[in-house]
Amino acid sequence: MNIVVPIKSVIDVELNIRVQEGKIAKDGMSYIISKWDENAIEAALQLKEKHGGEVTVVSVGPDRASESLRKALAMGADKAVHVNDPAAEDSDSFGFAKILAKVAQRGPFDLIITGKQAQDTDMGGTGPILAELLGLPQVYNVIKLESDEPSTLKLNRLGHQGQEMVELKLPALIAANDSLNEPRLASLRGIMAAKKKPLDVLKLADLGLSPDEVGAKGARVRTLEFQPPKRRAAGKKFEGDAEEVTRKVMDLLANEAKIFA
Amino acid sequence: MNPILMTLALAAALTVFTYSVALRLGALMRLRPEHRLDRPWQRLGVLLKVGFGQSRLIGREHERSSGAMHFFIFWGFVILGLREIIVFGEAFSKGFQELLPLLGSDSVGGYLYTLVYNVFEAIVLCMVVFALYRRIGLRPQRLDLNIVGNVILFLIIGVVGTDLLYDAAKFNLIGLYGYSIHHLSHPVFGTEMAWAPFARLLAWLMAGWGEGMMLFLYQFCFWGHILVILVFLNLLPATKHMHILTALPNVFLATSPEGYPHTPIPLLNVEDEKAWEEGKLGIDRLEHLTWKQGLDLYTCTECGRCYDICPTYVTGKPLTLKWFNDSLHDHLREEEGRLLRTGHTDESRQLVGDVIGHDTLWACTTCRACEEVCPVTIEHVPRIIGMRQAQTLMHEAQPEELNNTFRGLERNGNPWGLGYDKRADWAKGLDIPILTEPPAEDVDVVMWVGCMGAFDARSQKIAQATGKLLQKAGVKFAILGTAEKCTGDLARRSGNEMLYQMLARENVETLNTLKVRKIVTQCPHCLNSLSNEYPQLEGRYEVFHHSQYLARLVEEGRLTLDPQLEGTVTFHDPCYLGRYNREYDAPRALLARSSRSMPVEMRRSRNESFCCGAGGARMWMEEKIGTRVNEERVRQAYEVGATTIATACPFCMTMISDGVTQSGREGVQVLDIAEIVLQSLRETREPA
Repeated sequence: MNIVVPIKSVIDVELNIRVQEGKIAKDGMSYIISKWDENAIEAALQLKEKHGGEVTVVSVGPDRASESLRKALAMGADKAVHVNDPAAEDSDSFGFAKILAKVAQRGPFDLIITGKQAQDTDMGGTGPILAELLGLPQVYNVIKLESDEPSTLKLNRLGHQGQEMVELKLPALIAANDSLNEPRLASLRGIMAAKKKPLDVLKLADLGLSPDEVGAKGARVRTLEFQPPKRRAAGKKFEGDAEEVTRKVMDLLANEAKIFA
Repeated sequence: MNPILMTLALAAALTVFTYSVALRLGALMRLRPEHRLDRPWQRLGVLLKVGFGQSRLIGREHERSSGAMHFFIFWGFVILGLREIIVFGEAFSKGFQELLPLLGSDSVGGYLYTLVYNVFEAIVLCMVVFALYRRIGLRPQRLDLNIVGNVILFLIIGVVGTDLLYDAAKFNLIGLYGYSIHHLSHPVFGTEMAWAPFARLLAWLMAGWGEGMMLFLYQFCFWGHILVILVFLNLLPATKHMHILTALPNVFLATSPEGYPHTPIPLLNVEDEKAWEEGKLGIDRLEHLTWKQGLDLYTCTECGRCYDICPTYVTGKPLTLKWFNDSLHDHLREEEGRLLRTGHTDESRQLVGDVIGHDTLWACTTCRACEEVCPVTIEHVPRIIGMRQAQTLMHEAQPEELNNTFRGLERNGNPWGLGYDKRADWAKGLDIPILTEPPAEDVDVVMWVGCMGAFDARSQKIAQATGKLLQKAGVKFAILGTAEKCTGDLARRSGNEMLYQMLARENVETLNTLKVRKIVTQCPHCLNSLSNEYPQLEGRYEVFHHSQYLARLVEEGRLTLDPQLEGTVTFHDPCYLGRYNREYDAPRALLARSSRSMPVEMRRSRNESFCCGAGGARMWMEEKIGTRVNEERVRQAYEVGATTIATACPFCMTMISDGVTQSGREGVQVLDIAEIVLQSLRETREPA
C-alpha cells in the first residue's frame, strides 16, 4: 500500500504568537509538524507496517519544511518531497492542493492521508480540494481506522451527533482527527535510518506548474490582516464564609454578568 | 600428622577451587571493560573504612546488633586465616609455627596470637549462635532464610569448634598424659596453654574422658578441621557466600566511594551505528554489563539492606533490589560457562522482560539510598540506567507517559512542552537582568532557574524568593532567560541519552559562549547535571545549590536573619542534593537560623533520607502500583510532629505538597529553604 501524507510545518502554538502590522511576527518562532498531520503520519506508518508499501511525506514551504520532513522520515516514512519555491508562498488552500496533486501524481498511490486541518490557520480546505482535484472519495475527521485487506479501509468518522461507520475502497483520501492514534516519537533507530532516506527538493517547474497558478498570484482567498486574539480578563477569587461568598457570586452573576437575563 | 594425606587433600580441594574461581573470573573478563584503579589512595581509605572497619554494618543504628555480629565474624576470619596456615603447616612439619616470623616460642608474638585467636574463636562461636538464632528465631524480614545460609553457619561452627577441641585435646595429651607434642613454651611467657583460656577451659571439662578419647579427638579434630575448611572453601565460589572472597576487592574497586560525588553515567556514543546495529547501546543482555557490574553480582550476599531502605519496596512496588540482584545473579550463574567460552550470553533471553520485569526496571527513583547502605558497595543505579538506555534507545519501550515529556523537551526544552519563549516570565517585575552577551564578568553568578522554577506555578515562587534574596544581599547576578533549557536530567535517567546529549550540548554551548564560570541553582537535579555531568561535554563550572550560596551569604553577614518560623519544622533531604552532592548541612544551617524552635529530624534523614518519589523521571510517569512514595514520606514527617516540612528541591516540593494535600491534614505547610529564609530576613536599615 503506497501512501502519500502531505504535512505542514507550523509555528509551535505553545509560543506567544505576536502580530506586527497585521502580520505574524516570525522572529524567535520555532516550527513543528502540524499536530493532525502527525496523526496522519502515524496512521500511514501503521498501515504500512500491516500491508507493506511505502509512505511518502510531502511538504510545500520554505527551507524549514525540510526539518519537518526529516522528522517524519525519522518517525518511519520512506521518502520525502519538499516543494521549495518562493512562488508557492502565500498560496491559498486551492494553490496548495494543486501542488500536492501534482506531487501525488508523480507515482502510483493507494491512499492520501492528511490532518483534518492545519494547526496554524485551522482552514481545513486543502485536503478536500486535493481529493476533488484527483477525483478521489474522501472521508474526513477519522477517529478509528481498521484495514483487514489492503484494498479497503473501515473507518469511524466523528460527526456532530455521533460516529459514522464507513467502508472505503481505495484509492481515496482520508483526514485524521487527533484521537485516531498516538503519534510515535522519532526514535534513535528512526533518526539513524532517516539520514539515508531520499528527500527530493522540487521547484514548481519540476511539477509542470507555472508561478501564476499558485502562490499569491493564483490565490482566490487573500489574507487581509491578522489580529491578536482578545485577552481574557483575569478571574476573580472569592474567599470567606461559604454562604456569604455564594450570595456575593450569585449577585454578581445576576447583576453584573447578567447571565439570567 | 600425615603429609601425604594432606598433600592429596590440598591438591584435590585446590584444584576444584581454582577451577571454580577461574571459571567466574574468566566469565567476568569477558564482560565490558571499565577502568577502576584511579584514585588508589581514596580507594584504600574506603577499603579501610567500609571493608575492614565494617562501617556500613556497625555504623547504622537500627542494624547495630547484626552489624556487630558480622564485624566479629569478619575479624574472626581475618585472624583465623593465619591460624589455618599454622594448622596446615603442622601436617608437613611438626612445630611448623616455629618457622613463622614473630610467632615462634621465642617471641611474645606467638603467645599474643594464641590469646587473640583463642578469644576470637569463642567470640565467633557466640556470634554464629546468635546468627542462627536470628535466622531461625527472629527471622528479620529482609533476610531470605534459605538452607545454604544455615549450612554455612554450621560449617563455621565446625571450623571453630574442631580447632578449639583440637587445642583442648592437645593440652590434655601434653598436660595429663605426658605426650611430647610441639607447643609454645618459654621461661618468661610460660606455655601456650596459659594463653588460650577457652581451649584450656574445654580441656579442663574433658579431663576425665581418658587418654584414648583425647588421642582420638586430637587426630579427628585435626583432620575434621581440614575437611571442613576445604569444603567451606569450595562452597564459597558456588554460592552467594562468594562475598567472603570478593567483598574486599569489590569495595576497593567501587566507583562511588563514601563522601565523594558519584561517577556520572558514562557518555554513550549514540551516533555509533555499529553499536546500534549490534544491539549494544546500554545494557540489553547480560554480556553488556561491565566486569565490575558482574563482580557486584557475585558479591551480593542477599543481606537485603537495599531492600528495606528502598522507597519502592516500602510502598509495594515490584522493585525489590535484593531480588533484582538475585535474578541477575542467577542469570549470571546460568550463563557463566557460555560467557567464558563464547563471550556471549543466551540471545533469546532479554534482561528486561525475561529476567527482570518491565515495571521493576521503571520503578526506580534513582535515589541511591541502596548504594548508601550496601555493605559491599554494589552500584545499583548505573546498572538500572544502563538497562533503561537499552529499553528507550533500542526497543523504544519506555513507559508511554514519557513520550509527551520527551516531545516537550525536544520542542521547547521543558518537560511540558510549554513555549520556550515564556521561560523568563516568572521574573517579570523583579528586575533581574538577562545575560545575552559575553563577557559574564559583570555578574558574580548566573542563576540557573530550571524548568520547574521557570514554569511550575508553585516552584516559580521558589525562584522568585531566591532571586529576591540574591538582590537583598547585593549579589550581581543574571539569568539566561529563554536561552536556558532543561539540563536533560530526566531524559538521562529514563535512558534517553540521545535527548539528554542534545539538550546538554545546547546548554554547554550557551554557557560557554557567555563565558559563564559560576552558577547558582535552586534545583538539585540541575545542580547534579551542571556540576557532575556537564564536564563530560566540556562544560566546567563552579555550581552552587541555592542553600549553599545563601548559607554563605548569611555566613558573610550579607543576609541577616531573625528567626520567624513558628511550630515544628523538619527538613526533607532531596536525594540529588544529599546523596548525589553530599550537601546535608547548608540547608540545615539556614533552617536553624530561621526557625524559632530547634528543627527536628525524621527517622529517615541525611544519607538515609527517604525519596519523595519524583527522581529518575518518576515525576513524569504514573505511579500505578502500590501506595504512593510521597504519602509515605509525609507520614514520616507527621511522625515527628512537623507543622512545616522544609525542602530544597522543586520536585520534592511538588511531591511533598501533594502528599500533604492527600493526607487531608490541615495546618501543615511545605516550604522551600529560600522561602523560609526570605520570611526571616531582617531588612537592613539605611545608615542614619
